[in-house]
Amino acid sequence: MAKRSSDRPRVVLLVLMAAALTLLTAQFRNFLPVDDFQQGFRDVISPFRKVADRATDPFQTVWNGIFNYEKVNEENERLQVEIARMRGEELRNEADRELLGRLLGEVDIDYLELETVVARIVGVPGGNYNSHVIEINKGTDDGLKEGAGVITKAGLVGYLHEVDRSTSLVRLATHPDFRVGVRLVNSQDEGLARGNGSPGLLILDAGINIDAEVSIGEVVVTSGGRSIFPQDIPVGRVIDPDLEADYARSIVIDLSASLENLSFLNVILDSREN
Amino acid sequence: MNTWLRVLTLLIAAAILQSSIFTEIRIDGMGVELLLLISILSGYHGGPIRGAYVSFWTGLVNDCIVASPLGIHALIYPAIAVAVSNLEERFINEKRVIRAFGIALAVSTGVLLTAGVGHIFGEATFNTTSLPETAIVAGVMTTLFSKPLSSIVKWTVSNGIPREVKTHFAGSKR
Repeated sequence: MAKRSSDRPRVVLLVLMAAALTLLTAQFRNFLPVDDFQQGFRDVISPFRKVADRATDPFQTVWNGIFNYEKVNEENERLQVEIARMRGEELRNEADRELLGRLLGEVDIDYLELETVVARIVGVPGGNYNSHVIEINKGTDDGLKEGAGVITKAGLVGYLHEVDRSTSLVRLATHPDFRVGVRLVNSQDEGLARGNGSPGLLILDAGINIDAEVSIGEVVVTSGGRSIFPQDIPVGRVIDPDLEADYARSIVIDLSASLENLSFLNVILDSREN
Repeated sequence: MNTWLRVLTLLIAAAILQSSIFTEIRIDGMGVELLLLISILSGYHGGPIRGAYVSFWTGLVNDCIVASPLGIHALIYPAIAVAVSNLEERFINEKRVIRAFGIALAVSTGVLLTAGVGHIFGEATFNTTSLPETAIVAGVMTTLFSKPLSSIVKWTVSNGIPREVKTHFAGSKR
């Protein structure tokens, strides 16, 4: 007797692959129920995740103690250096403070006045699919929306990529799909910077003039405009102005916010116009 | 218990574990692919057709928890399960080390294929410079969890499938 088509592995495999491709097409065409289905699933399992997290906390601590011991030591050393630096800063004289105030005034940094929600980092998504993405403990219940900018007091961190009811995923500035409009503070040139997967670095290679005068250490801030980020959020400093470029410049920016050692973040609630 | 109810229970439990404790079990940022392991084991224990169906749903669950476009993992996992199922007969009488190597290889292949398909669909989510390293480490780490999970997946997917019959030939060592 001939086999039914549903009994043939190849036919079944082809049908399932076609179904997966259909779902992918629906997703890329912004067919909303697909997104809602994913968010709903994450919302449903979220309470169970929290319970599992608490129940397995001792095991996680032991694991981190074994495999991340060096990292913890490095973090301790870094914090000790940071404390020493802050103590030193405290002791600086009035002239230094004036100079600092003048420099900040030149950059016109008032981003600390933005209305933000403080969120705690709870980890990274499971598996290995999402690099340069972190998860925070705030979601739509706290007024967060997809696309909102994420910063720390040191500057730009990323934006909200997925927002569920009680958690959200932040796409970090180093993610290869990350784009942000930036302005060079000294030259006032503007361009589009992107993440390239390298830790702590952004590449400014679009919209910048080949003959723009860019110096090492120049401060870079967000340019605002139609960007999801308000203007004047510190992005970082230029570490390679690519002065020898012939056709297209590729300026390397060192991010001012350390994305490796984050614990708390600020999610911007208001997106002010220029 | 009905097979599909077992599968549903397994997938929800795996999703909770993958998005809680297994987000922390990482070495240098590289982690365990629990749901990919379930796909591989379902192909191994459940045969190509049942393995493909289970893997499809496993892929969808993984797409939900890692917030990747719905269908990326569901496109790869059934193919991995069917491939594993086709190779199962060759591995079933092999030493444990060889079978473990097979699982590690399947996991690594799954990670690489997912990265490739993601890249085709414009999802630059993998760090391409460390991708081979990620695939190998994920393969090894995931294989460490295959022994305890194998029994659970076997119980889940092999309901109703005739038990294997071991044959002995005169003079053979087995």
